[in-house]
Amino acid sequence: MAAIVVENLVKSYARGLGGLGGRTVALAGVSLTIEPGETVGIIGPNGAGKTTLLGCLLGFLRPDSGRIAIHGLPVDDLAVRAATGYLPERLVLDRWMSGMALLQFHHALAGLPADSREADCQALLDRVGLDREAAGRRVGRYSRGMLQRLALAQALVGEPRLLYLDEPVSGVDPAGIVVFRDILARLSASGATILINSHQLAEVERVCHRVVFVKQGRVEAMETMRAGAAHARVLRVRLSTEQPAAAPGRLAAIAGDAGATFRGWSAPDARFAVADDAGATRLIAALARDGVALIEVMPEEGRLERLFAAGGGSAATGASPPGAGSAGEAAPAAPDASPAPDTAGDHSRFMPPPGPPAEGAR
Amino acid sequence: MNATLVRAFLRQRFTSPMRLAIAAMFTFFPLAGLALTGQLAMVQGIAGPLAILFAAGAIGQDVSSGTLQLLLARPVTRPAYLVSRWLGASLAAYGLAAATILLGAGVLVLRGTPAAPLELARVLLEAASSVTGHAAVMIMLSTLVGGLGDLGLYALTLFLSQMAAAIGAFRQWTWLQRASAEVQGVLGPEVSLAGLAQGLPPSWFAVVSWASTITLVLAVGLARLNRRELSYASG
Amino acid sequence: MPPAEPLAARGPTRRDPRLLWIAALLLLGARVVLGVLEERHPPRRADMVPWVEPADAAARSRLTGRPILYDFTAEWCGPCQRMEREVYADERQARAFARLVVPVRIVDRQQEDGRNSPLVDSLQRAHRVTVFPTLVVVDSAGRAIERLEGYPGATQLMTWVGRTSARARVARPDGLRITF
Repeated sequence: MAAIVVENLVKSYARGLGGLGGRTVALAGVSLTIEPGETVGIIGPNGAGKTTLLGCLLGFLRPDSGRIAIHGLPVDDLAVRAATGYLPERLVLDRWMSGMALLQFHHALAGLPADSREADCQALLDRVGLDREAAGRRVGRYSRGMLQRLALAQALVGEPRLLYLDEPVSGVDPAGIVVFRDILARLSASGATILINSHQLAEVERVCHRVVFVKQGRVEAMETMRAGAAHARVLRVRLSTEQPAAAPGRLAAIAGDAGATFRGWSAPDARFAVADDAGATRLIAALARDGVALIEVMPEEGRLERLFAAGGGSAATGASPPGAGSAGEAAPAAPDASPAPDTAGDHSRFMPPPGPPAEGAR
Repeated sequence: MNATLVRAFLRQRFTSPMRLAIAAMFTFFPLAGLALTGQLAMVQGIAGPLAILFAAGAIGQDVSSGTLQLLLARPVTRPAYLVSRWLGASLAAYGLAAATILLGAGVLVLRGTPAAPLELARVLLEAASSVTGHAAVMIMLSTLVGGLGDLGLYALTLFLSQMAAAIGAFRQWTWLQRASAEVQGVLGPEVSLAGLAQGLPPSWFAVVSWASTITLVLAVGLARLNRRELSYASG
Repeated sequence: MPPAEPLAARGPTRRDPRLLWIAALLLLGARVVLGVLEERHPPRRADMVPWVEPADAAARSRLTGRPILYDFTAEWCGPCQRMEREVYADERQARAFARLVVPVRIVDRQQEDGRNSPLVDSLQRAHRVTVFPTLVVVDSAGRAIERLEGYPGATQLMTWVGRTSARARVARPDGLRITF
């Protein structure tokens, strides 16, 4: 059974006093299916309806029409609540409580047994990296980073099966982000379904299995974050300045042999267009073989940024079930011939990105 | 009813310096009056205001601050939340009111003019009815407006009803006088046990009115809370 | 991945308070019914005012220097019952009341018995009573100082009684009258 099923969700708000200003449509028919154990990112421009979607999934808002089922139950069910962890964007926690007290409060609210309360909460605090002193301090005196950690700890109370994270790493320092990734990895491994709403595309790309692009109240695109997916991109190859720069002609020749196109210089980077991951690997290998002193290779534009720029993929997969493995855009590249296996178990995503080309294909 | 919520609410109310300061004023001056006049009746009227003090913003502040979302993401039913707020406010207010009344009785004993035990019982019972009644009304108003708007609504309704009463008296419009008296009764539900000293039971009408007001306002508040959409828009 | 056990439904978080609504409506109905009943058959209420018999009123007034207050009332009169509930049944108010005036209650029984006693009739005629309640403050010589028709609320009533009795008190039994 799917973890989250959303069918044709429509939600509009009344504008002005008593609805005199007409209605703003926040969601215009969103359909989505999320399998248990998936980590799904929701991205989109401001005002796209992501917050409304999350609100409906959490039972804060009632949709005008459409259906939501969470593990087969209605959103409003207590069982669903008990299995849910929620990290809000606005970090408003009761300011008068201490960190430990707040966690214990939520632990009690979640209906968890009192005997293990203190131990559980201490474990959570350790997991998010809040020390004893901080835990004893009143929440009103927390810094932003501490608030985020405490809020994350609060979301993790009771080992939830469904985790909704709204902008979980905004304003978090790099150490915090590492902690966050680690926690997410472990949760995902234990089978939790995670939904992340974020503007941090790099982070989303990194930790999610799938990314849903929402725009103007609809799902415009769905991208599966799998290595080996076919999507054309432009690579920027940084060449070493200690050696004389290679001539454009030579670079063009090497690229052509490897099935890529040399797009010119944008010092200190050379730009190449490649068709897919395999093409990128071939290009890098060819350059290295030919003795070109490259020190770094990076995509010019994130995959996900392109969605924003292009106004969404044309292959709008609003209603398609997951696992079909279709790329989200009608790019000049040929679509993937064979659907790649679901990489739910592949945690290489949580490793640092590939370094020098010696890593090769995965 | 959720014990965790009640406990947390009580702790929050009793760690709020502003509320405690006002509560101190509400209890100190009547006590002083009692010490000077020797009348237990001086501390009789504190129950209602204390209930309003502790119940004000009980739900509205949660809504406007956003903490309600976090709360309702947990397996807590909305009725349990509302009733816990009402009970919490009532307990806090009654605790203080009863303590003050008993303290007052103690002062009277020291003064050499002890109050009759029946009189003491009457004041304590009336305070209980007053506290629960006022708290229920405030909680209901708190579901209608955010922040501390419920206080404003209460004050406004009281003011308007008094104006209506004055107009009704001036123009001899008994219907208006009756209506405004009803509204004032709803704003401050309590049972008067004035006849207790003479062995008379309270009038059934008074008890039923009080119970009916409480159940009605709680039902309205609950209906409103159930329908309420938590504006999640982060802006 | 560990197999996930299905979630068992536990009921909605937004529970409709059906029982509460039923209780509220029942109580409301009971309230209306009892309200009507009580107006028709007012219960024996704690009346803390030490009413004085009409015959003794003049003597008491001369003795204490307080004016007489006639409360012309009837059992069926709604505002009169409210006045009873809010002023006479309240200990503080009733005591204040008794300290300011010599209270005399003249109850009209026209509705219930068809006629009144001659004393009630004569008093009502003398003070031209047409509505209930009517309060008349009278000095010891029997002259009406001021009258109040209808029940204006406890606070206003007590203010009126206080003001009027103060005025009446200044009248001396030997006829010298000083008024403001």
